[in-house]
Amino acid sequence: MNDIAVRVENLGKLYKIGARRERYRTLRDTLTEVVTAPFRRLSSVFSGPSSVLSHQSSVTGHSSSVVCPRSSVVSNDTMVLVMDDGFRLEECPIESRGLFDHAVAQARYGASIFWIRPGLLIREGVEDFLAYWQLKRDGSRRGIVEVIP
Amino acid sequence: MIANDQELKVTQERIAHLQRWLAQIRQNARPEEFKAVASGYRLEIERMQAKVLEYLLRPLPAEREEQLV
Repeated sequence: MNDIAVRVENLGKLYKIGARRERYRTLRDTLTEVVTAPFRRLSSVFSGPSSVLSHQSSVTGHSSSVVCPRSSVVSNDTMVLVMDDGFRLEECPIESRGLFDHAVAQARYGASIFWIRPGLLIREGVEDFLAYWQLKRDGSRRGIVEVIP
Repeated sequence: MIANDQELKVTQERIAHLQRWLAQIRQNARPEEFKAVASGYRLEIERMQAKVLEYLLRPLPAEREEQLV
């Protein structure tokens, strides 16, 4: 699945970013800019469009993927962080913990941030979790962007 | 804002979905992470419940009332 650069499902769009082959570089860079565009207010945390995940990984050491639906469900931008099960919030540097508290992140970065790790969802997989964020109120699906470090 | 009964149904299903996740998170989260991880889902549920109530308490449009008479 990591070899997939762009994948389209149903009516939504799922971009898998993180292809390791150089020939995807331009596409990856372009899509990464698309991903980060709604989250420029996070720039105090993320130093630039192409460094979202590397920064996230270096800060927490455990970010496994970042999914960014362009949401109309909430008034502000929505970001979903899927962490791996080794993630320990209490071990995060203090300056990055605000990302994982919804109210703090909303106030600090103006984004609605939801996070999960697979071990918290016993009855549903991460794919189901991600599918939820694609569903729009009118029943159609929105495109989501998934970035894999 | 919820515009019609179909959107109401989807929103109610989304609330139920989030509540199921919250129940699972409650069962499986470590004490150190529970409050933080649950905070977003709680606020999202509250936001959507407010939208449901707003819709349910909105009077029917005049033309719809005429159809019902």
